[in-house]
Amino acid sequence: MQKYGFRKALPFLLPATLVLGIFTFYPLVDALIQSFNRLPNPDHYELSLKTYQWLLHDASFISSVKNTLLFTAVTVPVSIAISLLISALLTSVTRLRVFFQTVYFLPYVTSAVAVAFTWGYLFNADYGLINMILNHVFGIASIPWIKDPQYAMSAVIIFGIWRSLAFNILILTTGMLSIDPQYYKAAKIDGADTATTFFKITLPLLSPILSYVFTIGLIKLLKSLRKSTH
Amino acid sequence: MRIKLENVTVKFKDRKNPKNEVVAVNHVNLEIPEGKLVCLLGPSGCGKSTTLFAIAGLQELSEGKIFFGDDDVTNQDTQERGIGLVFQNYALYPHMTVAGNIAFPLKNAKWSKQAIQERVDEVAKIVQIGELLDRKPAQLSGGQQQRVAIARALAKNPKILLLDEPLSNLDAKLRHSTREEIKRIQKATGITTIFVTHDQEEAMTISDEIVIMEAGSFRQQGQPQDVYEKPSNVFVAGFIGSPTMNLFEGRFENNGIWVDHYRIASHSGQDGKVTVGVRAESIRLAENGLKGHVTSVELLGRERMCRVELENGVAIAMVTSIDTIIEDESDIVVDFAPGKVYLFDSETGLALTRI
Repeated sequence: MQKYGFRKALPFLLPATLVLGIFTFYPLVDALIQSFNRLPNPDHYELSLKTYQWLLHDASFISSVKNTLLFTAVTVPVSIAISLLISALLTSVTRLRVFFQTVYFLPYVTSAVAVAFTWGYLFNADYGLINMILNHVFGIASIPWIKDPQYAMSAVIIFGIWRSLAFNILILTTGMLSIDPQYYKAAKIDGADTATTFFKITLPLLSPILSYVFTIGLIKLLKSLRKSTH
Repeated sequence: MRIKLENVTVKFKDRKNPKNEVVAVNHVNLEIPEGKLVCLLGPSGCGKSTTLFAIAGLQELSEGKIFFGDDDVTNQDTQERGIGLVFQNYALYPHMTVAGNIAFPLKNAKWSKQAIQERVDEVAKIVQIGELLDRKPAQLSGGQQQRVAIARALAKNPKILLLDEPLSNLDAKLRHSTREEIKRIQKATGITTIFVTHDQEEAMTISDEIVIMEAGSFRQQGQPQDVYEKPSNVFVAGFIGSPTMNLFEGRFENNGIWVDHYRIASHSGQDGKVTVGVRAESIRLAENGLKGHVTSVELLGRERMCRVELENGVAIAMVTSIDTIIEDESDIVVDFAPGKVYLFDSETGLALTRI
């Protein structure tokens, strides 16, 4: 049985392997090979580091990488922290939980165009809601969120956090709800307060899901390099 | 610590029909004496675990009060009640080692590191798991997890130890030895212990006292032998003992007590119905009595255990000594040993007398 396992599995693996091979692995490897070609010409190959030299001297590429790293490094942990808090609150309510879960998940399924427009208005320097709140509630002068490069990163990070909350909250809430309630009863018996229960019981039991959310978040945001270079 | 339940009632909303209420525990009054091992015994769904969780403070009461000693703890949080609880499937924290599990309640109580270390070693010794302290729960057998759960419950010197069906996840052999173990630990620590079980044999062997519940209500409390010999109602009579007590429909008539044509004893008073209970070991072969047909015979070492179908269709269990020869598929006549026949009110099920 085990001896013939691979041979038997082959026909089942073949379709997926073919599709992945042609559309994912081949382009991946080819792109890598071509990146060492002196000129972008698949018919004439000349090994060279020219592409990389050019890239490393390109100021906009360097700043793109820097921005992406900064964006990711701030957005992912902050988003996960906020998601954890919201998920913990969500799991502690029983009434209307499904309703709130839906509300928090809406951004994930909303059209990107609609979202971009809405945030464009929110961040607008002259009549945006965010500046209005800053002016009237906190007495802070208006901030040119999108126009000024100094603030643009903050605007993008705020937006990025908001955008990633939906998915994180969904996954983390589901993860928290799947923790056996007996552990919480046991923690009560063992005299643990709310904070101890969260840090010593909930978080460790959630760690596989946390690392999943973290990895997916990293991948998603690091891929935004593609967007920022264009 | 003496525990007293006063009029304790727990109601749940029916999940399928939220307008209806399910009464899980119905106006229960009972007192658990200090330093004893007491079993809460009853069939599944009788409210015994709910009662235990109410004592633990994990279950809110709909009505009634709970006292530890003279203190009313009804509105106290679980954390303040100073109890240890062993869950049915142990609920050991899977990400902590055995030592971490046992130390957890002590850390929460802000013990010093030194004191925690000493106490962990001490309780590990009591339940004999000293060599397992560095393992994770997943690396332990069921019996070992059980011991760790008990150690964790004992760690902070609780005033009361609660065990929720602690043996139900163990295999038969382990169940026996763990039973003894729990009894030994309870004796060694002298801690007031409440033990929930649906297994009457377990309750009979382990406990100082048994509290029997049925359908959310209290039925009887007493020492195991007393409960066996003096059941206060039909339910207890039918629940305690193996095989369970045979119950017959009988009647008072013509100054006698009758089951069918068999006159058990004389009786003066009003005619009417009565429920007659006889244990399997109190049924004997006789010249006159109830006719029946033997449907099965099992030899159990010293005893012969027979199933007999009586003329009126009632199936009964009968245990005789191995020397009394009873053949399978034979026709026999049986009567009841005098002094071993229980009478219960056929309406209320309450015990009347023993004849």
